[in-house]
Amino acid sequence: MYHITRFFIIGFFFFITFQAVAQNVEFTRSNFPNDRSGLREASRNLRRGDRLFEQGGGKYDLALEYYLKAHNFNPKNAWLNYKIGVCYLNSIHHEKAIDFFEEAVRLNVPTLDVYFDLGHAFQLNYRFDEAIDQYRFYRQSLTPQELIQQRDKVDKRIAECNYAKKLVEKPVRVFIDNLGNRINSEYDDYSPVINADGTKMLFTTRRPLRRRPRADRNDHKYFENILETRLIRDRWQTPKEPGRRINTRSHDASAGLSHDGNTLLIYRGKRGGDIHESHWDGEQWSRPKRLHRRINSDYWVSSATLSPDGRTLYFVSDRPGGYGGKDIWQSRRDDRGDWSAPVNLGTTVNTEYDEASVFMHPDGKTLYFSSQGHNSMGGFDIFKTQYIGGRWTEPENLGHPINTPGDDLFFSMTKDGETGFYSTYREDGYGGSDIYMITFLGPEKPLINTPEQQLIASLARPADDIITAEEIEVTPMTLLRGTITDQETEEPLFATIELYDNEEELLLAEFTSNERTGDYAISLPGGKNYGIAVQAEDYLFHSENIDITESMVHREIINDIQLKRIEVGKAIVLENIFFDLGQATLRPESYAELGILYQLMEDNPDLRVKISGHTCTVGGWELNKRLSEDRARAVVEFLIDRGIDRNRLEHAGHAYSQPIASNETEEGREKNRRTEFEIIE
Amino acid sequence: MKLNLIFLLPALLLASSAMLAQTAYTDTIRVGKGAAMEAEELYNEGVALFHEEEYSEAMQKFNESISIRDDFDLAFYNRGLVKYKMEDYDGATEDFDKALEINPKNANAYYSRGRALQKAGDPEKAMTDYSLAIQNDDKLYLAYYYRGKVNFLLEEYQKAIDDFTNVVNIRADYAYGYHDRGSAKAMTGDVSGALADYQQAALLDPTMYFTYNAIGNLYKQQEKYEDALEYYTTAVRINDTKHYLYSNRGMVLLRLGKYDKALKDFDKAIELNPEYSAAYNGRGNVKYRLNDFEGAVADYNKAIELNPGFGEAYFNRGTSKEMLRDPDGALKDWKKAAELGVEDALEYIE
Repeated sequence: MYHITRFFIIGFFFFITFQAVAQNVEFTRSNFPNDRSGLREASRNLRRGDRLFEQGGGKYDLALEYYLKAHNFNPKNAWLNYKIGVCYLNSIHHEKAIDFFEEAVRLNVPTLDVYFDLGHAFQLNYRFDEAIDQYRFYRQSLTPQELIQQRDKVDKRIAECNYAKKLVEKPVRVFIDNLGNRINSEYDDYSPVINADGTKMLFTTRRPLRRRPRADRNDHKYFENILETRLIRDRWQTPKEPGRRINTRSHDASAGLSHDGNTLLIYRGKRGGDIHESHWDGEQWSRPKRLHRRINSDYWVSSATLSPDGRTLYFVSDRPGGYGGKDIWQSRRDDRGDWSAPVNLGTTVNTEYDEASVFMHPDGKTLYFSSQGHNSMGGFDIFKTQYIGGRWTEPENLGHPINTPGDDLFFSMTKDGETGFYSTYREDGYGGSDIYMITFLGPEKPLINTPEQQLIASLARPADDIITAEEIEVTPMTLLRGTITDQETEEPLFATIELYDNEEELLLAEFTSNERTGDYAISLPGGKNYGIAVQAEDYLFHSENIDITESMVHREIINDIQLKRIEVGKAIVLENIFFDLGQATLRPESYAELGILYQLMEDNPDLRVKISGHTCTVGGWELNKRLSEDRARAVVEFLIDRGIDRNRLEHAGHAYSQPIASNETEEGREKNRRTEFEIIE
Repeated sequence: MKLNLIFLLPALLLASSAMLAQTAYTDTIRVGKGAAMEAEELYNEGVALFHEEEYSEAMQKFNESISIRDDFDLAFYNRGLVKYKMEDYDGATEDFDKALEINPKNANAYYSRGRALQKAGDPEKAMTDYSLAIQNDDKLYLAYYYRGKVNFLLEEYQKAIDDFTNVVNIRADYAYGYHDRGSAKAMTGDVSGALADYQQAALLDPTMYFTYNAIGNLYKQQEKYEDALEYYTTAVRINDTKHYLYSNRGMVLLRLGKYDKALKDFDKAIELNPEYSAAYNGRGNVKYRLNDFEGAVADYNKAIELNPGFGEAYFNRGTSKEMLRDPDGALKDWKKAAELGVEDALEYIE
């Protein structure tokens, strides 16, 4: 009654969780009223399956065939789904178990074991998180009494899943190859033992070797026998029985082989399981001889291995004094060949769970063994420990993919450490457990990846590297233009125009007026004081002063020029003669025009001239009279200094007696302040 | 009848004006406007067009300006810039030559000629010009910057650091100066100095995705993969179009065992640039880790096809071939990798 309630609660829980509790369909007439023969056939298959299922072990495969037929007829039976799941769980196709267990859960199969088994199926299929969920759910559903019994088992499984996750994350670098169908069969093949160079192998098989093979009642599999094979040209030869003396009608299993390959340790099932020893004399294996009682005792002894010197035997036994389950023990043979009392390897190596299949490497210090304890990822895993400084090191899991969530057993390795052999269950197997070769690839080879560097910013993202010369202030220009004509006839004249920078006393340019029209045009950049001297043959030169020092705007000055023929009485104003204020000292700006004057005197040696000074009215008569005279004299003296005969020159100061403009305005006064040049002869 | 209106004295030094050599007097308007002024106005129009990136039109204006005034150094200079922009580096160099012939003190012209020479693939001559630019204007930070760059590329890291230091002393807000000094420091092994400069660069210009990339690379080099990941991610956030940012991030994701994300990044890098060999190599490495050795080899093949000198891809392909039970192929690839300078390959050849 209690159980029924509990199942109801679980069922209810699952209803909430999965929202899909299906209806269990029993194999009854009422469920299949229209197919009585089909039902009869299905029920028969079910019964046959059940009989095999109950025997377990090797019979699961056979049971499965009948169950699948029954399932074909009625896929909605809870127990049938569960039992198919169990069959698959015990085969190499454990991945198929999951669907059937899940279906059994949906059909509300009345056993809690389905959760544990589903967990196991997940675990075997590397779905560790889901496995943990199922194990936890199983544990939560147990009664307190059941929990006491089951807790360790369940917690162990959960721990295995957690170890497994870590191991799978960092796989070891190996190739694992099935030794092929010469060595492996559809039956269990396992426990390969090899010599040090890996050229000789003996292994255990449960395939039938005799005409009428016998099966072990415990697991319904044929008794164990030993087969031997050799590696020739990289190929394992078809295995043969190692002579007639080795295999009996009971269990004979390869338990260990000395490194020279000449001492075979054999497990024999009689007397509760003992180790026997056989020697290769070069032609045949000797009759196996039971090891001393100290080793074999009354207890079960299976795998064994010898140290390289043949003096130490490590073996697995369930003899008392261990740490739980089967443990690894060692014994030393003295000079007389007597074995010492076995010593347990201790808790570093042995656990409360089973240890199995021990192998001492030819290096004499590295011991490989299988264990269900330590950090096994499920079932037996292979571990290694080293005897260093008088103690065994912490066993190290050989890692995934060598170890699997299933049983991994009977590891052995060549002397060079490059090749190992063991037996395990893998998808590519031929059935049951198979023998595999492990090729160790050594430490991880790094993969190289160099990130792209963008070390120079302007290469990563080009920068604006342009420095432009910006727009400039356009220089203000003054255009001076006009027409040059004869003063009297108004005929256009072809004249030379010299442009001076008065301050720098530089002749800037020389150009001419149009011969036909007398037009001229000069563009003058602002900011300077210019002097212009216009000369034409037989004409008096004409000077202009254009002071645009302050001019910052464009403008145009129209300036028509009339030249006077060189004739007595013709006078011109010397526009580019400058004096210091109120003084008669010639300013340097005047030298350009004085030069022209000099040139005129030189070119016309018959010419006599008079230089007259004129002033404005500011400053009174006396002062202006003297100033105008002095200034005229200064010009004359300049010319004399340059070499003009004194007799050709006269001068006069007229003060403001001969104004050419009004003295009322500044403009007029400026015009009146002038130096004139007159031809007198 | 032709009239020679102008005769220029050799000593004439009117900096910004000159008389027009006028052949036909009838063209009074032109004479009237003034030669210097017209050249200058054309020049100004050219400058405006240059700023509007109307380069051919700008070129036309500078050409006209120069045809009026063949001693107008600024017109030559700016025409040089136009040619530089149009990637005619030889033409640009000629114009800068001319500008410098007229005014040998024009620091900008030395600098710009340096740029053109560097673009034309003559870093040594460029370096000389940058130095001349600095001689004429010791505040010309761009000249320091590009001289630093040449020094960096010539692996003269200390000289580069000195130049970049001048850059940031003149222009404390010039992020590129900090970035590149950071790189130069990193090359001398000064990781903390490099980091500080990169951080400053990123602070000054938060759009500099390549600076975040550089910081990521530094952290990756120091095996600080989580930090590297963070910076690469920031870089990608700033600029999601740069293939190498995804590829670099893929590499640290691979290191962190985040294979799915790594795969996505390499896929993205390849999508952005199908010619990017490093991304194929990286994706090959992810596939290797996912035990897809054939897929990995296919990616390495592509990487090698795109970049036949890619030693690392040979090395990695060898390692995948080993896993594909092809020891001869593996050995051949490792040998090739060693030939191409991958030192790690040497120990596997034995």
